[in-house]
Amino acid sequence: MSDNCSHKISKDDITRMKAAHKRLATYSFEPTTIERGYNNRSLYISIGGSFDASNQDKLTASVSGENCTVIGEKAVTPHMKDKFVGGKGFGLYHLWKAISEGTRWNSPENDIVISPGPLAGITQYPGAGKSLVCAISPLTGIPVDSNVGGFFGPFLKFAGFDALELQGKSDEEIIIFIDGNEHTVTIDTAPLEAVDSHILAEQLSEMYASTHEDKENISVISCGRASENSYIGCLNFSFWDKRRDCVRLKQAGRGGIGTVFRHKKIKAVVIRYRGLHGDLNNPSKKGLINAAGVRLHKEMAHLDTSQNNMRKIGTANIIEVMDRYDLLPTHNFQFGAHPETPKISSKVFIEKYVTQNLPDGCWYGCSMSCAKAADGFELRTGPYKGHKVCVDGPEYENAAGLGSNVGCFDPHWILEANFYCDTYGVDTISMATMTAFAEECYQRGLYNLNDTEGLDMRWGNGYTLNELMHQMVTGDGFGVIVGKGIRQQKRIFAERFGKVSPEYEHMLGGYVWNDIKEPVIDMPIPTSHFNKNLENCEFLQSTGYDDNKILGEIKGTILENAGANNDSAYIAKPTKPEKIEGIPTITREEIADWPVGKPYYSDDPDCSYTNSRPWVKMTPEQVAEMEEFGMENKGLEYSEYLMKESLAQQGGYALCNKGPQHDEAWLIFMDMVNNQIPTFEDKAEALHYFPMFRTWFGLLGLCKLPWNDVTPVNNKYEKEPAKIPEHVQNYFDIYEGVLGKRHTEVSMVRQSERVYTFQRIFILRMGSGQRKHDTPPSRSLGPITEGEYLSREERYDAQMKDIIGIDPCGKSTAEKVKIIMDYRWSQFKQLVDAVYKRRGWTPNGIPKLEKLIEIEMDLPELVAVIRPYLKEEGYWPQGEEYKKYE
Amino acid sequence: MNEPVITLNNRPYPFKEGLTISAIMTERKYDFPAIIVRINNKHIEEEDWQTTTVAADDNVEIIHVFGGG
Repeated sequence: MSDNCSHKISKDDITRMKAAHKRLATYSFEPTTIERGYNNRSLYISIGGSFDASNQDKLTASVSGENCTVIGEKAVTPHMKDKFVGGKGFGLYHLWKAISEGTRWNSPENDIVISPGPLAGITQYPGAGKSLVCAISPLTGIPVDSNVGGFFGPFLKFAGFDALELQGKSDEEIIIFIDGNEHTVTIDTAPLEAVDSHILAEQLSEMYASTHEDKENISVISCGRASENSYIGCLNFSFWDKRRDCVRLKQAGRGGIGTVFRHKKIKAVVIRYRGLHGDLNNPSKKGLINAAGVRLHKEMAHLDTSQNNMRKIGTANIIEVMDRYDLLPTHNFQFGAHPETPKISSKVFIEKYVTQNLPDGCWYGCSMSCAKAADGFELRTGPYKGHKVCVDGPEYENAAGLGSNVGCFDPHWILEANFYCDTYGVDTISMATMTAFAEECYQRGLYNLNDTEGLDMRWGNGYTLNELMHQMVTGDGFGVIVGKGIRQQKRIFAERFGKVSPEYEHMLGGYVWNDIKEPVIDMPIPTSHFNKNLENCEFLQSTGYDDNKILGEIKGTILENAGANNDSAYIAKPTKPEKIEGIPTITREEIADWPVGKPYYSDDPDCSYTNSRPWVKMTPEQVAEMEEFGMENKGLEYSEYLMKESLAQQGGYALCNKGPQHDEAWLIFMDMVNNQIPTFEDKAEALHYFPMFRTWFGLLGLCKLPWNDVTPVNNKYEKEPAKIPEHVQNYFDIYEGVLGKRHTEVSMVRQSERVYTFQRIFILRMGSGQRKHDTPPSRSLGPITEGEYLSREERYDAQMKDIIGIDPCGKSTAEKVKIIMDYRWSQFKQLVDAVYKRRGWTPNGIPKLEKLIEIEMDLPELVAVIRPYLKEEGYWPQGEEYKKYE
Repeated sequence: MNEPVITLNNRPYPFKEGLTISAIMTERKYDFPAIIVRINNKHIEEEDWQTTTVAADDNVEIIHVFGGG
C-alpha cells in the first residue's frame, strides 16, 4: 500500500550496507526430508564469548569461524521427541543444558532457542505457524517462553531444522543468514543496517530477496533500540505482506528475550525458503488434516461475523466485552470498566484505523485472519514523527494495556505506542503495566516532577507514554527506570526517590528539592459510573475528587483528546543539578544500612539517569505500599485482564510458571460469570487441565486462537463446552495426520505435564519456584483502596454479608477493605493448596518424586534438583522402590 | 417461610411466576453472543428463550462460551 511509504529503501543503501559486511563464518549443511513433522536435527550457532559448553549435546557437524563463532548441528533424538515433543519443550531442553545455576540473562551462555514444533508449517489448518522462543529472562531470572507467529518458524523447519539455538556474545553487530535452498548458514558483521525493526526488516527483505516477489520467501527476526536500555525487549518475527507491499511484524513479547538478543549484539537472523507447499511436513495421513481444515474454514466463513469478528478486528473485538463484564483493567488494575471505553472500542478501530477486507493471516492458510493492521498511520512523536507507517495491531492487550490501564482513551495514542513498542522492540504488555504502576506511584505522591525531570506521569498522557519509550532508546531519562520493569522500579524508587527528612535538609546546601510546581493530581475515574450513590461521597470529595467535573470533561471531549488533556509529555524541563558538596557517595552495598531520609550519592551502571542527583531512601511504609499495587509476579508484569473477582484467574496468573501471563489459563468467565468451577477442587482441576492443554499448543507449534475464538454450532450440546471438544478432536486429528499416532486427552495431558513439570523444576534450579515465589500482589486479589471498594460497594458489601457472614453495616470503608482482603487471602491460600495437590506438588510447590515417576520424567538431573527440597520438607518417599533415586 | 428460588449457575436466584430465560438474561445484563442455556440439564435453544419459563427449584445454567485471552 502506498500509504506506508516513509522508509523505503534504495538499492544504493543496500549496496553500501552489504559492502560493509565482513564474513565471520559459513556453514554448509546437507538437505533433509522432514519425517512426520521432524527433521531430527537442530541448528546451533555460537557467536563468540567464553563459556562452558561441556554439558550440552555434542555437535554432529560444525565449522568454526572468526571471532570464536561456531555453526553446527545437534541430533534431535527419540528421547527428546518422547519427553519434550518440540517447540517450548525443545527450547527448555536446550536451555537447561546450555546454562548453569549461576547463569544470568546477560551471561554469554544464556541461550535463545527458537523452535516451531512438529505440527508447525501446516497450511491446511488455521493457526499452525507458531514458534516458541525460550531464554533466561532479564525480568525474572528464570526461563521464559514466548510464542510468536510470522514465517520464520515454518521456514526454519522447511530449511531443515527443528530448533535454532543462539548462544554466546558477539563483539560486533552481526547478521545471521540461513539459506534454506542453498543449504548454507552465514554470519556477517553488519555495522550499517538500522536497528529499529520496521526499517531493518524492510532493509533485510530487500537485501536477501533476489526479486521483489522473492520477499515473501524471507523472514527476519529483529529487535529495536529500546530493548538495549530496558529489560522488556521483544523479538519481532517478520512476514512479507504482498498486498500491502511491506513487512509485517509479529512479536515474541513476554519476558525480555529481545533484550537478550540485542545484548548478544545480534542485529537480525534472516531466513530464506523458496518452494513452500502444503505437504512439506511429509504427513502420515494427509486426509485427516484436510478434513479438519475444511471443517474449521467453514466455521470461520459462516460463524465469525456473528461471534467474535476476528476477521475484522482480531483479538481487539473483546475490548468492549471486557468493559461490560467489569474485566477491562483501568488505571493500574484499580477498576474493570470506564465510561470512556467507547472511545477505544473495536468499532472505533474498525471504522477509523484498521484496514478491512485483507486476508491478514500471519501464516499461510489461516482463515481466522486476525493479524490486523492500520495503514498510513501518521506518527506524532519521536524520530519517525510525520512518517506514515503500518501499525501491526491493535491486539486486545495493546488496546487494554496502552489504553485503559494507563488511563489513555485516545485510539491514536494507543496505536502510536503500539507502533513504537514494536519497532523499538519492547513488549506492549510489560510496557503498559509498568507505566500504569509508575503513574499510580506518581498519583500517590511517592515521587514527584523533580524525580522525573518534569515528565508528566499523570494518568493517560499519550505524549508521555511514547516519550518513555523514546527515552529508553536514548538511554537517558525517567523512561529508563520504567523500562527496567516493576520489580526494579520498586527497588529504584525505594532507594532514590524518598523524601529528605527535616534533620538532613541542611545537607542539600540550599538546593530547592521541589522546585517544579506540581499539577493538580487528577483522579482516574468517575466512580459514580459504577455506583450512583457516590455522586456526593464525602470520602471522595475529601480527596479533591469532582465527579461532575470529570463526567463533564468526558462528555465534552472529542474522540481524539490528548489523554490527560495535555499537549506535551512535560510539565517543565529543569536543568540537571550540580553535585552538592557534603553529601557523601556510598557503594551499592552500603545502601541497605543507610538511614531513611538522609541524602547520598551512589552509582548505578545499568540506570545512569539518577547518578548525578542525590538519592534518598523511602520509608518502609512507602516500600510496603508499592508492593500492594505493583502488578508483577516473579518479576514479570501482569497481562491485561482484571482478575480481582475470579479466584481461579488469580491462581491462573500467580501460579503460571513463567510469571503472570494468561496463556496458561484464562478462566475468568468459567469462574466469575458462569460459576462453573465453584469449589477449590473444581478450580484446581481447571488449573490443571487448561494449562496442560495450552502448554500443548506451545509444544506443537499451534496458535490458541482457532481453538476457542470461533465456536462450532453443536458446541452448545457438549457436556464441557468450555473445552470446545470438536476443536480438540480436530487437533488430535491433525496430530495423527502429521505424526501418524492416535492422540487422546490423556496422552495430550501427559505430554504437557512432562514439559510443564520440567519447567517448574528448571525454575527451582534457578533459585525460584517455591510457594513464596507464587505470591501475588494484594491488588490482584481484591480492592486494596477505599476508592476501589466504594466503586463496587454494593458487590463487596453483599459478599461480606452473604459469603463471609459479617454484617457491613456500621463499618468504615477501611474496616471493610480489611475484612474483604483478609478473606480473599485465606481463599487464595486454599486455592494454592488445592492446585499444588492436583499437580502432584508439595505444599511448598515442589514436584514430588512420585509425580516424576508417574509421568516418566524421573530423570537424574531433575531428581537431583528436587531431592534436597523434598527431604527438608519431609516429602521424600520411603520404600525400596525409591532407593535408586537416593 | 423462605422465598422461592431457582439455582442459577450454582447460586440461589429469586424466583417469580412467569420468569423467562430472556428476563433473567436482561436482569443479569447477559448480552454476549455465545451463550448456552440449560434447565435441569436440558438444552434450551436460543429461539425459545423468550417463551421458556422456569419453575421454582429449577437448576438453570447460563453459560458464556468465551475464549478470552
